Amino acid sequence: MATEPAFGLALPTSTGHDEQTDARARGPWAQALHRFSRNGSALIAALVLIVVIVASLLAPVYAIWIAGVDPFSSNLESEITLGGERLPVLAPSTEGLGIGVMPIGPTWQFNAYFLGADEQGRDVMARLLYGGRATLLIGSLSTAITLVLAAFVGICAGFFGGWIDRILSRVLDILWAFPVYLFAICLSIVLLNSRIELGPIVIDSSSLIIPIMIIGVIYVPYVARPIRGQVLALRKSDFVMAAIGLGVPPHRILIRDILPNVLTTLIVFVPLMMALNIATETALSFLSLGVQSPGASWGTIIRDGQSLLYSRPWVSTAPGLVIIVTIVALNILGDGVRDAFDPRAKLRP
Amino acid sequence: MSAPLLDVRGLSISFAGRNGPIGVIEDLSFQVHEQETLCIVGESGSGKTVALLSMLGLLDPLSSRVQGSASFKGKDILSASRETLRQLRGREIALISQDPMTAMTPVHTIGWQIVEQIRAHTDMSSRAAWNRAIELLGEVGIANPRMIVGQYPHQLSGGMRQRAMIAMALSCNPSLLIADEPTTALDVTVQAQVLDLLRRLRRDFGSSIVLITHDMGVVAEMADRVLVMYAGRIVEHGPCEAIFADAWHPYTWGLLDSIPPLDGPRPDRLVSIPGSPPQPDKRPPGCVFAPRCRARTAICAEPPPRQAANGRDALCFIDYADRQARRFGLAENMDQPA
Amino acid sequence: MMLAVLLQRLAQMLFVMFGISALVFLIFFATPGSDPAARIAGKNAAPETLLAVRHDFGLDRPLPVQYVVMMKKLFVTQDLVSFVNRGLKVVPAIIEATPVTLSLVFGAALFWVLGGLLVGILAAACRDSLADRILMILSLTGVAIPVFWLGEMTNLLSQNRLHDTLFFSWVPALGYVPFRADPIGWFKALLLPWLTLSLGFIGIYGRVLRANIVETYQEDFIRTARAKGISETRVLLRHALRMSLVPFVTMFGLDFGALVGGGALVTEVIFGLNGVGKLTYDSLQSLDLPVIMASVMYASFFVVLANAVVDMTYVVLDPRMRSH
Repeated sequence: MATEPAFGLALPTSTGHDEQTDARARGPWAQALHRFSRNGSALIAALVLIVVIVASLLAPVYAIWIAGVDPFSSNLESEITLGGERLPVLAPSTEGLGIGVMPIGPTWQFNAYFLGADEQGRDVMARLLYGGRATLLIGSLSTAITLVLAAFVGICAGFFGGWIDRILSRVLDILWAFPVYLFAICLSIVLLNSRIELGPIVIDSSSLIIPIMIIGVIYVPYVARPIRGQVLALRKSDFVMAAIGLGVPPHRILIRDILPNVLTTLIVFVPLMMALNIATETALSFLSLGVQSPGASWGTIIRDGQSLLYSRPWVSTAPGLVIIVTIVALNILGDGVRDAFDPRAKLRP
Repeated sequence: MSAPLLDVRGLSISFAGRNGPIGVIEDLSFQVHEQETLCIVGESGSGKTVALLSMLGLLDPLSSRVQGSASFKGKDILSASRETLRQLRGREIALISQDPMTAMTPVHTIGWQIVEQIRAHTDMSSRAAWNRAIELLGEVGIANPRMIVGQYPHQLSGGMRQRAMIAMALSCNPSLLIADEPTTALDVTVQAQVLDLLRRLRRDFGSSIVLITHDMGVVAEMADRVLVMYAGRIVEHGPCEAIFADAWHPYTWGLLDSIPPLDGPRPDRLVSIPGSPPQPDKRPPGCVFAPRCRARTAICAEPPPRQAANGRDALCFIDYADRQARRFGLAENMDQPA
Repeated sequence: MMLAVLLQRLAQMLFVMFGISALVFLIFFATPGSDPAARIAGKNAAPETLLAVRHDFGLDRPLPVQYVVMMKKLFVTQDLVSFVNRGLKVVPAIIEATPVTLSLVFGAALFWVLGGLLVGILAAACRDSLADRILMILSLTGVAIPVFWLGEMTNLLSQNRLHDTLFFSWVPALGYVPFRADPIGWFKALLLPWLTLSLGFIGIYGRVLRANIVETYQEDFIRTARAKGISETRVLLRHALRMSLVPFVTMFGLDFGALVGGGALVTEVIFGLNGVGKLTYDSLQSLDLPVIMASVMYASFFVVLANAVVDMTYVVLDPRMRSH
């Protein structure tokens, strides 16, 4: 949060005057980078995110070289040696009627079942790292889809106006009012149970493309509406009006005046949409509408841990903590990016 | 002469900047007497508004530092408690803001806002306060006060809103009215009406008025005395007629020359003061006006003396003997295209 | 004037309802990939069931006719049946589950609005102090916690790990208690679900409200209010807060929708509350499409209606909205 001089008094001074003039000379991008690099909490958030991403990318290294497990297949029979003692990964349950199994709890040793196993004897730590890959991949690709679609729709509506704008705005109104999760539920339940064949391309229900597409689509109105507003405002601004009056062709106005402005808005949206999309992915996976078994994402691991909640709480707890850390970091980063590009911008998180 | 209503001595105000405090107001001293209109003139950024807000305790105590003394009716108001100041505000000292478009809370009716102020300072019932609000709106020349009292600010024109603001400011019969550029945001015809209204109110209510403006025309019409401020300092002070007849400070010359003459030959162009006022953290060590001054000499690198005579003073090296020659000699030179 | 604004809003609401119903219909009946009849009848349905469905829903007729048939079944005759749960009448099942969901949703909304106001006002009142920082960090974290995970953690502590301590000994077993049967039991059963559901929103709303108030403090009319000599509390509550409520209410309408579709659904699942969300969840697991379709439709309409109501309060809150 920037500190403001309170009491409704505009300072008659501009503090740090020469800094601003310097920055202005450097152009908006360098200026943004400069501001961002002075934002301590945003830098820490970026660092945390890099750690999460690198750890997720190293998932195979962990699974194969360190833990030596296959996180995607059941281990009903295997045993591990812990402190000289041989323990089964899945022991017969001692609770209740004695039916069912009790997976091994956290060993807190990096080379074997650090966070314990799930009901099928799969290493939760390894699944957590692989789950990070899926969740982050879905989060980032769906963000890309949202932003590209939203920019396209928003620019078309805002720049061309007329009946194009009227139709697109009505469609956006409908989508805006449609609760996102209900929308996602409709799309998921239909798409996950269909075989989609587009010519030679066949999309299987276990493909990550389905959740990516769904999450990418449902948030389009959230970004498209502000962009439409921004383009509309630019379209009516003096310098664009002047350019039109001078006979500059529309595509040049679009490229030279509109796109650069929209681009900064889109960049400001990236971390915030990432956070939103990751939250959505985990919720959909928790409802069994996202990543499908045996694949792992942070949401599916929490779902897998549901039945073990009271006996092996770490299965559900660990992915939740990772989700929180990631989303907090993304939100702080988002605030930092927004402040860096436009300290006065107001975007709904 | 009786003790002044407001007596400010050695007032200095600085704001917290990134590299230490930045002085905005330096060593300001002035008095406001009973039933007097004092005009404070200067360009935007000269610190007029800040100085007056500090009187009301409306500067952020975290980011600003106020030094010196100011007494109102003999009581020190700079060191007064928040509660004392609160009671003073609105009842004894009232403020009229520059832009009536933004100065009233949009979601409350005009009447509600006036009643709020009355009830903050008296134990009048809300019905009585409401009636008083209608009465006040009538007094400031609103034709249909019963209708206006229930309307929201956005439903009124700019002039009407400024009248409503004035009605609100007068609601507790303040002894001092601070009007911060009350006509700047208004149309010219409405400006004249509002100024008329202020003049009439001073007569009827007997309040003193501090009028902040950058318009010498307004000064000529309204002021008993004039303070000319430049870069946080009073550069010239004196009775209105005296200053219009014979200004001492080159900055005041500039302000006066920028008014188009009403009679005589029309000049090819109006004389303007070149450059702009320095940023508060970049003020020159000597005379603050020196970089823009037509009559600058080498000595101006030193802090200028305050020359005083006949109830007026100026912060300048130029003395009585030189004044006329310097002023008009230079003005003639200025008329030659460079 | 004001009536015209309200009527216009009403027309917009009906249009949006039509749009959403058409969209849902198209997703279920016109998405390529598999036969809509097979979707409705559920997995491994008998050929005669498929035939009956095809006839019943008019699937051999053009799409607009199918749409009308579907809407009639949902809203007029209300005789849509589930094929997975043989004979279950879908609409009565939803209506029966509604009180649970409404109790959860409105209770949570109350907590969230009060909590958001409290956090926002406190943080704005002592802005830039340590308390402000801490409140803001807490709310930033609150925003990031997934509701279903928070629910699980709440259960872990209140039902299991700390159930026998002073803190949670009052917590009843998971499940819903009807208000008419036992108001106190109803309150106890819902208190933790309410808090779970509202926590994230309290965080967001506290942050947004604080930012709005602090921004409003820059306005001229705040200076006027101070200059009038009213108390600082009054400046905060009657001027700064009152102005900040307008964006607050706009956001509320939107997020209330998100709550009904998302957070409330998972909260019902985690806390074993047999509301519309739990019904939908169970149908998701058994691929019971008629139930899913009906509950999505009813829930969306509820949200659109709630949004319209919120928008109308907006008109009351901000006099400037009344004239255009």
